[in-house]
Amino acid sequence: MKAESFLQAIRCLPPQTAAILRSLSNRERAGCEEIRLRAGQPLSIECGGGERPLGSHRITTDELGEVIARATDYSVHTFTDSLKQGFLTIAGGHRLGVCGTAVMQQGEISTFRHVSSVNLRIARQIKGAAGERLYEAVHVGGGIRSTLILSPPGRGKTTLLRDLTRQLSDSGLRMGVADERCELSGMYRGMPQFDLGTHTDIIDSCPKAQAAMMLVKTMSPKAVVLDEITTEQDARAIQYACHCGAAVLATAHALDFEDFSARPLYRSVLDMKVFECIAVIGHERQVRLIQ
Amino acid sequence: MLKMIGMILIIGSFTGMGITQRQQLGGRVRALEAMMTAADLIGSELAFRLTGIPDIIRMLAQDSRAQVALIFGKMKRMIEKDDGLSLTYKWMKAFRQYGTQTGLTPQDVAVLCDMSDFIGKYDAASQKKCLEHSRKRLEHQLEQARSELKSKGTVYRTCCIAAGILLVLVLI
Repeated sequence: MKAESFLQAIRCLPPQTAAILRSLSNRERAGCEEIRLRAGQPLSIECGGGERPLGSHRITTDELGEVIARATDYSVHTFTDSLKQGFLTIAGGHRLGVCGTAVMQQGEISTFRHVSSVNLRIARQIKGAAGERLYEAVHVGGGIRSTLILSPPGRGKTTLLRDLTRQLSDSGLRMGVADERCELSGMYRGMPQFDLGTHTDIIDSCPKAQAAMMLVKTMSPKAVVLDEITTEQDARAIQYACHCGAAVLATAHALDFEDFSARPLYRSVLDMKVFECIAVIGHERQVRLIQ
Repeated sequence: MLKMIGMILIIGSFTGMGITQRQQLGGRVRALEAMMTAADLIGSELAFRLTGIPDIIRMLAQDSRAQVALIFGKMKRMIEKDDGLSLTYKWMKAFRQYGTQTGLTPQDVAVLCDMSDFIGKYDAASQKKCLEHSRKRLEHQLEQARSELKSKGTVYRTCCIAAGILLVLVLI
């Protein structure tokens, strides 16, 4: 399955680059987390233990342009909003991070004139990642307790939140997902690429705060799911959802609870007294619960 | 009697040649009109629905105009093949291989091939602008085709009939 995700992800790469990656063994394919292409450098892969260059072919800017064209299915206009944020979600929920010469219009990035590097992050859903302990701490008495998942980048916050959403949804609870960057659902052409459960409604590619309000007003979910709280608007959306009787499942970047509570934005979130359960993902991805 | 049949055959075949020539000119006009409608549809889909290019090609492949359906149908089959070739290449290949079959001239095909320089490569507004420029170029080709049909079409038909009659007279 993991090797299949890898093969699906590399479809957006030019044939020459894809051929190098196809020569990897099944074990390497399964372990590959990211594929990085930088102009003038050989292709490299990240397999948990740092980056490893592959082959001697040096990537050209034309090839990087072709990657964007292929990833957007030769329809860049359908991805302009996400490209402005520096990424594209492709079929399978895989994410293509883009770097290059930004074109600024009215103080905002409108596109990239030249692409200098891309990072293809291979998406894999880990069913059961949330574990029974977390599920039982969140799903209490037929309802949902508002829960915040904390960890530094790369420890699996989104994976955990996705699986928790799936489990709660499959248990019959209506979930509303505000998926601004399409990371939770991997939405592609209206079809979520990850299983978020049978009772889940998703608004993607829309600011979280706006999406959360729309979900509460129109879909009456038992819980609103928000990945990565980063702005005051997100914090206000949490408050709004709670006032409307919906629980909130959210994630935030923080080393631990102390680090989280030291930040002014997050302090205001704590002052709202919304979250009844906080899950901190520590080293080796162990989850510590604070209730 | 044989002379009579021979005369009819000669005049008939020369008339046929004239009519065919005229039809070719008319076919080019119809093909260009169809391509302009296709360009309009591409523009509308880009502006209002932000439809992806492969989806637009699929729509055009089912168009009721035979010229549009032929070229875009072939293009659709090409893009469905996962052969690693770019859409730019497939767009150009479809027009170059099948454009003349629909009545377009190599100059018309060149205008349509040039559309591959921007199709799917920019935001919707920029593509729409480029499309308007291509449409103007197509309009120019269409005007040329119509004036050719008007001036040369009748000349071809008349000349061929006259040539047939002349040949009959010479043979008699």
